Amino acid sequence: MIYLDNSATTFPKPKEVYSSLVTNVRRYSANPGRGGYEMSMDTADKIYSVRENLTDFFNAPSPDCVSFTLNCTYAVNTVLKGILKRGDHVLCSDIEHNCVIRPLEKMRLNADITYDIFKTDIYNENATISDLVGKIKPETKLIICNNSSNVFGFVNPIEKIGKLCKENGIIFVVDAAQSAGVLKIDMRQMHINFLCLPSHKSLYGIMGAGVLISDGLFTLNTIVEGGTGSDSLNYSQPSYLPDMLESGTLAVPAIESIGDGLNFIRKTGLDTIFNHERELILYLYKELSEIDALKLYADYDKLSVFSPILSFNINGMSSEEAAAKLAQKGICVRAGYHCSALAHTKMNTLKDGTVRISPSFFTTKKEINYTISTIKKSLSAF
Amino acid sequence: MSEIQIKAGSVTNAQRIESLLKRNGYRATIRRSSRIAKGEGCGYSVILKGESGKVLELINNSRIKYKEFKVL
Repeated sequence: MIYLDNSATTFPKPKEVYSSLVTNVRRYSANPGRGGYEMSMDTADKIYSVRENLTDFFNAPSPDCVSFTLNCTYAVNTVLKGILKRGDHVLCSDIEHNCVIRPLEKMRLNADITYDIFKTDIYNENATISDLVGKIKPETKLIICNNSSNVFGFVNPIEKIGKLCKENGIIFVVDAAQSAGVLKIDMRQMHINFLCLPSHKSLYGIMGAGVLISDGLFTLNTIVEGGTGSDSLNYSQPSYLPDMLESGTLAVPAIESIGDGLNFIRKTGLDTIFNHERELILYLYKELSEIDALKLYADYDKLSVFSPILSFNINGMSSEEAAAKLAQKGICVRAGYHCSALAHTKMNTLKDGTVRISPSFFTTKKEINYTISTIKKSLSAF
Repeated sequence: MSEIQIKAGSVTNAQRIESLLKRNGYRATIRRSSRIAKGEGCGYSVILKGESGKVLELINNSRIKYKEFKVL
């Protein structure tokens, strides 16, 4: 099997993640922040070490600003529904995942908020910023965008957007589902107020957790309340982080795996990971761009930076059919719309979606070569 | 040197206090708070030995929230 669906979830995980998982489940399986006995305290220490690790990795203010959620979508919803009030205006980019546009649309339909979509220019950051500036209104409270598109790998200029937000007193939220662990993210330098992450993508943890890192400056209205292990006689939810946003038992194994994934990334080096994946995409792009029957959607060699994701289509065939053909040869890719109506609208791929190839650090050039040759050989059969 | 108990609302705040104290050379441990203040419910405390004035100053300067600072 050749696994090229890493933007959905990375596979395989680093060997350290697998081996620690078994150890963690055996040794640190009591409920953290609930008991006072040794295993509960040890588990709480393990969770805290992941908070510290994330704080350091993304240059966040402090470990209590790291809240664990069910997944990245849940983290995005927690911010949007927790901070926006009736009459607020929001801006998002035209390459957002449905985890952003759907909560915004729901709030718009409820007549709570209004939103506009700014146009990204993948080859010109300043043009993106210019369009964004033109759409800011006096009532614009928040700008949310992904760090990179989950369909095409295009990157939003988050440092420039963060600076703009800072200058205009606008809250800046970043969905880093496709970039955390590949691209450098510095919350303070980029003026990010809220950063949303999944456990199971390029942070190399397992499925089951998300992360919401706050700058600690804003209080959110909670969308879920319940047991936190603290202030238990109080009918009201604690008002302090992370307890405020962490009702119920945490996904301890998934959270612990984030720590192991981060340690792998630190040991390997973010630049090493990025460069490896970048080379694979550029090589893939070069080879696929020579096939007339294939349609590609960007000149990757002209992009200054991108996440390791490449979408394409085969003329005369739906993306689902193409992916099914590749699956028959043991190549795992994703087809369709990738939960991003916006990105497909922007790129005129609403009819058939796209076939998406997304390598990871563990993908080899040999695997990419096999994929290229399989596509070439199969074209006539297609 | 006094034995000091710093009650924190949550285990995370207790861990932040413990981490701060350890970085400053104190031997601190976290325990489940044995006596729960009226109306509060569950919580964790950091226990250490040290000069109470200096420890209090350190904690207050850090701006980490705590519920009670007590010399035992």
